[in-house]
Amino acid sequence: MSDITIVKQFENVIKQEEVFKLIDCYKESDIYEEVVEEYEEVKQNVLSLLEPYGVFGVEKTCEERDIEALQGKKECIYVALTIGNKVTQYSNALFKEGDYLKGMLVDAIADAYLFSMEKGMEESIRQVCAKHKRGIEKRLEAPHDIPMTFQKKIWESLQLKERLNIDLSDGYMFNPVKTIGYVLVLSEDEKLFEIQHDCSKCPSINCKNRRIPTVQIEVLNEEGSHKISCKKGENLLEVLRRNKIFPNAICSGKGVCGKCKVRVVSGELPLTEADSKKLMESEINQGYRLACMAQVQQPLTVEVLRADAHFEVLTHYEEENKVALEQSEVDNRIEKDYIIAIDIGTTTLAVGIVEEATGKMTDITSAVNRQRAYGADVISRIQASNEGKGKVLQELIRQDLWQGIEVVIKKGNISKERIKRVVIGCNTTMGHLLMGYSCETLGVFPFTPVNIGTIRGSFKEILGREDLECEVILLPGISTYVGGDIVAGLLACHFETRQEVALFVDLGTNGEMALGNKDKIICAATAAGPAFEGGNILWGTGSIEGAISRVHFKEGTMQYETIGQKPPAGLCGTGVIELVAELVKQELIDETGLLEEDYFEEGYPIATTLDGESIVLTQKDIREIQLAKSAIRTGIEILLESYGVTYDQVETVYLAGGFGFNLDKDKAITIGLFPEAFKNKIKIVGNSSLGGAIYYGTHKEAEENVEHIGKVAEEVNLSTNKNFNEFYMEHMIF
Amino acid sequence: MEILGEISELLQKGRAKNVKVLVQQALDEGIDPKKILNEGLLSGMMIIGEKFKNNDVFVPEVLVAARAMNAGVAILEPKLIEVGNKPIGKAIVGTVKGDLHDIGKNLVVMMLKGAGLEIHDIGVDVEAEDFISKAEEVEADIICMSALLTTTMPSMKTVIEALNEKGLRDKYIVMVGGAPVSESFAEQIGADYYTPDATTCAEVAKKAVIEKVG
Repeated sequence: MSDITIVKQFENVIKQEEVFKLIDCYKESDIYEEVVEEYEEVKQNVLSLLEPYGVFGVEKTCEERDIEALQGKKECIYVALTIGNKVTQYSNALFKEGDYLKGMLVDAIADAYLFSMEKGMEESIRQVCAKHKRGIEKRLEAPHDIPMTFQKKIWESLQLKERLNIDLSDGYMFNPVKTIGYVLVLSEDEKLFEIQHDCSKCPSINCKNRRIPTVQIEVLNEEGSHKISCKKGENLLEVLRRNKIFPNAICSGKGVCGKCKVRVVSGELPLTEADSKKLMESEINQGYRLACMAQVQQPLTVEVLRADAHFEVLTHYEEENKVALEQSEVDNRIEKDYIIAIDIGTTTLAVGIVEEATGKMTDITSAVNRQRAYGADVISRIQASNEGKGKVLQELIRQDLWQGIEVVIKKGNISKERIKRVVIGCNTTMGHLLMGYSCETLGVFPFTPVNIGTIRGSFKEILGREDLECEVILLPGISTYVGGDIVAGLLACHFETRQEVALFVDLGTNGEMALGNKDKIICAATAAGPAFEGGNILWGTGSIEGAISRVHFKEGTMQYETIGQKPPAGLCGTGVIELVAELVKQELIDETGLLEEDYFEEGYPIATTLDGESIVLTQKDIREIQLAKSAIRTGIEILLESYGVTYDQVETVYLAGGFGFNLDKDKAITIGLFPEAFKNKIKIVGNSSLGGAIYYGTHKEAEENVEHIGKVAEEVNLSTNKNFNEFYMEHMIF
Repeated sequence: MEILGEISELLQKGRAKNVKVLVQQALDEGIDPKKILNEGLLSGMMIIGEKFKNNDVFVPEVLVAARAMNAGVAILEPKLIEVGNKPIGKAIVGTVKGDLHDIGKNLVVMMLKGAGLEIHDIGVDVEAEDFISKAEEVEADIICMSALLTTTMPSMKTVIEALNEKGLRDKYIVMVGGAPVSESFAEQIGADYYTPDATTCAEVAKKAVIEKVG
């Protein structure tokens, strides 16, 4: 080591704004003035406690074969800077006393000072470089550019212990903590002077001092091309979301579901481990990558197409109880009044505009719930909300709803003053997210909602805009897991006036159900899981075009139909049920759910995709279906038992929801989802959440009806029922 | 009880002096000190933590709120001892062997106190033995370890292994955190929880300890 230079004199250039940036204190803060005062108070103390020292030296032979950045390099400058230990002790003492703000400020001032010392060293380093006729090619720091162990080399070469009393910990960390060391690689090009830390290569994405170039990304999707920018090294899914582009991310960005794939058109996204696991080789070759695992390093053009954009949304609802107003009265009106009815599903949304007097639907539109980018089920939405995404989720649903409302108003050319009210049916979580409530308590025992009653507010309060002036009503729920969508369904099926006992089942992830009549209703939510919606099924998919939705065994072969008659792309919920039912009938699946030996390993092949991949149903898929159908069936059995009725005493079985709408009743009975005795009782009611919202919006007495339902309904806890396990095991079999 | 709501509000604004005055007033009015702690101070801290997570407020706001909490607790403490109030749980917090980083650990200590736990801060560069002997000594429920370097992360494993050897692993909830630590690392070394920041750490610790103690 030669030319060892020690620098003791540094200018006191601590900038308040830099310190404040380090601790996230901004002018808009209510306590800004207070922080300024405290800053002034501690600043002098910190300055008096500083023991600044800088040392550097030239190392002629520092080639390290194992360190990529130092291979073949001969000359380097090692640099170390410290401010001693006293400031740290001061900060710690303040923390111990409970004066956290001062403690944090002291620490931040120390950091700002330490960074400013780098500048103070520059001139001396420049002189040494000139003497050796060398420039600086780059700067290396542990642990990102060089391993932590290299700090030992710096420590030894610069004799930090002897010169500055700096120790090295077992973890190769300098003591005092406020010490930094780095390596400057010398170049024969004298003009080079790259002495600054290269933020672009540093993985500390959230560093407050990050100075890095922005990267341009062009995104191509159904709506055309969008130019967006991000910082180098940022996560692509985060960047897309921030720019309001929402790829599918059922697992909420954990690299598990494989749905957030984007196609790189130009530029490069390095292949990640998750890509190799979740994508097919053909897809990888075509440039597909998972956005959630991708780090943007260079300008890109990516195609982000949403398979979900073609989701089949159920907008049909049962219309048996239309308003029977005198026709003449309606016709005499010059301008009609309208109401808007909305169903917010976890996956899809439906917005309808309805004549108030007749209940006639003039127009309806539907869309995918873009919150899906934060996970497919309510649990992942609750998690996202708890992780600070509540505002984003609220904004998304507000935008989606407004778009739908705008579409139906414009299509019907309806003047805004004529809209009397907006009625919304949705589950409790969707309601909480729309209202901006905390979802903390929804996900943990005892699952208490913030508000489960009827929610009324102005359009501005609930949808955040002043375009309409009418009232917005969210239908009340019964509990956190039996929400307003189910109450809407019960209203649509007129449980409040019914004499005979009926069963209502919404076949979805939460499998909500209710049993009863006007005097007593009991209800429950079953943990059916996402299998009926194609989740957790190898080739499972939502109700998208190309999904196999029907399966029949005919003339010795398994025949299928797809949605939209498109080439097969996967299996949607009904497709899975039908295939399982046919396999059970053909005895290719035995009573316990075991697949015939020939298919046990690879799964049962049903179709081939355009790319020549075989769409199969695996043993694991069958197990998922067994779990899901048994969860529903167990729920039904426990409700019947608790209510004290037999199958025969149930007059009607109302089947609600998109999955129920397309379900083949016989096949559902074949797999044991429903008992044989229900065969002629099942009535499909479609989107009864929407139907109930319409009914509520067009009937004065509906408010009372809903209140009545709320009064007679109560939730039953299935899992604590003494027969739960027995039922659950019993109905697992086919 | 309006005064408790007021304490919570003032705490969220970081008004340490006003919090002190109101806590004293609440005591003078004969309100149960436990109630003042839970419904005034701790509930205020919970709200500010939530706001921090939602990006409604930033670090400085949390710092002044925690300071106000501390000031309130100082008034309350003698009374709490008198009525025999027990904290919801006890935690040992330290940065592992070979690692000297303190600021992140200090923030964790602050938030854990704000969640109503009794905290024993055992500093930085802590030997595995010291984590365990301190935990045993104070009859802790949780051991929280911090590491900021890939080179010091393995020390977390050493602590867990030592717990296993002594047959003490099941006695404690083990939580880990720090920049290079991840969920999968936590799983790999057999820790119970990984949390990405001090606020989440406090939340998880509270839940975990309530579940444990029942």
